[in-house]
Amino acid sequence: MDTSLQRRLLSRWLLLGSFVVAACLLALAGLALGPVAMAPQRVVSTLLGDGNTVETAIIWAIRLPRLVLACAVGSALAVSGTALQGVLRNPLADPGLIGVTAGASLGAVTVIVLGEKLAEGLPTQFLPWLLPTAAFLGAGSVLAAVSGFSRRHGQTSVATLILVGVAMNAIAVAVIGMLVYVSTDDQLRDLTFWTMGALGGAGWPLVLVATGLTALTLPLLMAQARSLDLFQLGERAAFHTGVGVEAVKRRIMLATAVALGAVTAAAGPIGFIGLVAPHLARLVFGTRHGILLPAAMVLGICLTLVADLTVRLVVPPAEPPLGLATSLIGGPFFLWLLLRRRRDLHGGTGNSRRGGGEGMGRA
Amino acid sequence: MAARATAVAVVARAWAVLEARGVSVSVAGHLVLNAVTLQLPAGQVTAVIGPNGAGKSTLLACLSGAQIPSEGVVRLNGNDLRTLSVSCLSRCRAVLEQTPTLAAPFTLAELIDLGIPRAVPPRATRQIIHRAAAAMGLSSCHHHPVDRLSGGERQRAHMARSLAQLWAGQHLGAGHWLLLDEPTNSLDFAHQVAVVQASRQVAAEGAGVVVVLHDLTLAAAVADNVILMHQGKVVAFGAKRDVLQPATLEPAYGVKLLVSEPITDTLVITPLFG
Repeated sequence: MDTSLQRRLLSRWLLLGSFVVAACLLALAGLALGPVAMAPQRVVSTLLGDGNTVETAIIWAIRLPRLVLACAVGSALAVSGTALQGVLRNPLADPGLIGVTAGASLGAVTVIVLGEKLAEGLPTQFLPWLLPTAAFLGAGSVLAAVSGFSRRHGQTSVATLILVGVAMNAIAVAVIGMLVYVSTDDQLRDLTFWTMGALGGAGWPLVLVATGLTALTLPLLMAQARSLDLFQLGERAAFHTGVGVEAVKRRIMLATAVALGAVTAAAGPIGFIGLVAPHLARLVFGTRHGILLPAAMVLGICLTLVADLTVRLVVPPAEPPLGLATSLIGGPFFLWLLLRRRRDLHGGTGNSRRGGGEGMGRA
Repeated sequence: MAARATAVAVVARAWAVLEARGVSVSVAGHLVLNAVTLQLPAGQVTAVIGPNGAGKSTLLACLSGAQIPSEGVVRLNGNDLRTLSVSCLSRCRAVLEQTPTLAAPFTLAELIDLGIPRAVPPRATRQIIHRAAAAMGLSSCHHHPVDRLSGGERQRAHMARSLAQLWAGQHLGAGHWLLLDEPTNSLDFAHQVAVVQASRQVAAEGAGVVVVLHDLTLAAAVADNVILMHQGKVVAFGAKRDVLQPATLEPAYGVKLLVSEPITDTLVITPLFG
């Protein structure tokens, strides 16, 4: 029995390895494909410094920062989503649904519209950090509000959580609307495209800041895998089995706020990756966070790269915003998820704890 | 095995005492626990009984360290629980909550594994998982998702998880207390007996067991000592034959009770209807 268990574990890690290979192939495709298609060997030699001027410009100035940002966005959203869903014991806790992305957007839009006034007197090397910092503050305050308001007597109510998220979304959207109203025509154009979510808008400095912050927070979140497993027993039982509940929650909230703030600042709000990637990872890899977190990360990168390739190739040279594509795919997926859970809750199984039904049942 | 049991007993003796001193808990100005002072002996099973709302679960939460008393202190071998780290607590005592939940579809083996700290080596972890599943009659369900099990099987799965946590603690040189809040909820007679036997076995190996129970006959079967609670206070605490008397029980429960002993060493306690 133990050898069969080991074989199953081994096969899961091998499967994860094959997803990593898929992500690498998609990355190569992301560099090679576009209005100017390049052969894979040209891509590689350009990366190694042997390309001509045009190739070098396309790869280094356009496609590589975009690819790096896609990886940061995919992994930050997927891992944050997995961690939030784990700590809140609710598989619907997408960073977008509970308003965290909207909070980050509010911070970022504030900088875009009022940035010149805010940046006065700041040294120029600080400028790339201004947008992520504002986005982090926005994401962090929404996360604090959502988790604070939905807690009573030490219990987090799932229904309240989602509703507080709806309220936070509404407030953030209203304030963003006010900022849009006072913005200039140029800012308005920037804003409109930014709020639809796109990977092509950010230059190297912002991409590197977002990627760096994501790379810092991912190990922090991955290190919580065991605690996240124990959180599935409920907070009281997690405490009984040795989890410092409040400390772990603070760490996860802080890390997700930094990661989500960083990638939202660079790419705008990208919806549903944080919901879809963890769910696919759970379907394939089970529920233990030790493998779930890295699996969600790889799947998040794959999904983001596929979505980005799709928007780039569907009507070239025009390029619909990435956020629209992920929402178009993610929205129906979310609906399907809800319907499936409803069937589990009210279906003829007579077992209300089946699937994710319990989370809603306790709402 | 014998050597290990002795070692456990020695450690357990060193940590023998779990005591509450003047412990009160007030929720919104209402005293749910009122100046409770107790000293619980290791190596024995102590049942906590009393009518609904008597403060049984709150007492258990205080003894586990999950509830910080508004007043008073809970000590484990002289150490204030508040000064012990969460991970140290998790090795010293295992707890089964009143309504255990599981928000993700773990398998039975994975659920039991949740109780075992990573400090326990993999081989010992596997042995503990098998032993705990066997003790609760779940040996055939190792790879079954817990959310597909029946209500009674789920309750036993969580009991197995708590036993595994206690044994893992003992493997690491602690594992002194097992605290159970109504562990026989939704269990049939055979599995009630299994829980009673497991608790007795744990006590025989040197650890202390505190178990909240509603069924007084079951309390009589499992316990050495009984704590009777009423309105947040300990009304009686002593050997089970002293506490399980109509004169002691009836004022707390507010009904007439019949205490009989149809077979030697088997107390049966039932309310008198009408």
